[in-house]
Amino acid sequence: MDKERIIAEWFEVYSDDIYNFLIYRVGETDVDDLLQEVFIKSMNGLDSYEGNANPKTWLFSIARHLAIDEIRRRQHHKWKSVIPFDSAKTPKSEETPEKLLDLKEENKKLYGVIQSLKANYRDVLILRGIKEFSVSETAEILGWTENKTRSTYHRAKQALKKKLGGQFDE
Amino acid sequence: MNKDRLDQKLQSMPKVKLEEHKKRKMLQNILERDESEEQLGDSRIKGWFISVGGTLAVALLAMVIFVMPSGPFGGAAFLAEEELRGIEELEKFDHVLKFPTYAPFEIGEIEYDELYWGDREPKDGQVHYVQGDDPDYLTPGINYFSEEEPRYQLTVYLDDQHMQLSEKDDFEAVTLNGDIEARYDQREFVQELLWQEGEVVFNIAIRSDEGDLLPKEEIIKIAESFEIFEF
Repeated sequence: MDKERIIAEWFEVYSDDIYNFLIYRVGETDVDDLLQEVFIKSMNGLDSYEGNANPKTWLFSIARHLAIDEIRRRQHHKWKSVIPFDSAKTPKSEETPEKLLDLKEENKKLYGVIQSLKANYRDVLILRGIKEFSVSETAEILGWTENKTRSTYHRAKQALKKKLGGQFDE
Repeated sequence: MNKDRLDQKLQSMPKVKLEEHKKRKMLQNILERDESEEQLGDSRIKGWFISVGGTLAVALLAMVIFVMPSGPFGGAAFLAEEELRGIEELEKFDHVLKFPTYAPFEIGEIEYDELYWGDREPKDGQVHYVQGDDPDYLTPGINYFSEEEPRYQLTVYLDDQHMQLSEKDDFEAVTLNGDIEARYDQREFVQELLWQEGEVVFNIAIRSDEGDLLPKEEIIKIAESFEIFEF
């Protein structure tokens, strides 16, 4: 199968999932370019893709790295946005994640708290918790061991519970 | 896995779907971009070894690799990045971690530091930190020591619940990158800057053995160089 066809198939199957991941991970809604970048990168790197690997986890690991880069880039831009005329170059979406995801009050709070956690916790909560990847899949995407994935997910949930004020304590 | 209420809640978080027309447009962009990159790649190969542009590109690439500092994601490198990444204690903190990528002096060594805010009680003739293992009662910090004379020590603390921006009048108000208010203080051997981003308070202090204070602008430059640190 030629690579355009493979990418087109993967895009059909996984684009919604990765789109959601990016919205949760970047914390903003204007992630269309980033989503395209994931598939462009995967097409360019298709020769190095090991056929026995799960394409979904491979695509998510690309998406995660791009998201980290993007957060850093946006942060830089935010710091530099006081420079006149600079802001005109990067129009920002007016739609907030809360609006796009139609988050109700409780979910809004949960979303906000997830965004306030450190990157490791955010990664594992989104992948394992929200996207429901298995431990081994999450470990593969994050490049961690399964033990580290389990323990970090546990710690991330504890941190989340604490910040939510005991709302989810058993 | 036994799913608790939080697991169930996370799983039920809303998801959105891309609209079909948007999806089609995106896929078209992706496939077109690949074609245009392929064409560009072919023409690059043909003229590579004989073109002046090729030579310049090699020189630029060499400069990027050998001269310009860069972090793992293409941003500026953190100060003493390799050592910083080796500090496992930082992993226990929930809040966002940010560290400087600039200092006006060469960094020699760094060390991990913690401020403890919990109860202390005597135990076996020593002071026992009752909540010493609980990150809620700890503020992480890093000390950076200059490599050469004059000797400086840059200390960075990141705190999400114990530190507060002082309202004292003798702190000078300064602005970081145009929109973050910070407080600057200068004493005989110490210069200090505090600011807050989200829930995290940042405190940097520069100590000089001989009282060789740095220009205030340099302290601000250090503060403005902070970037998010990811393991």
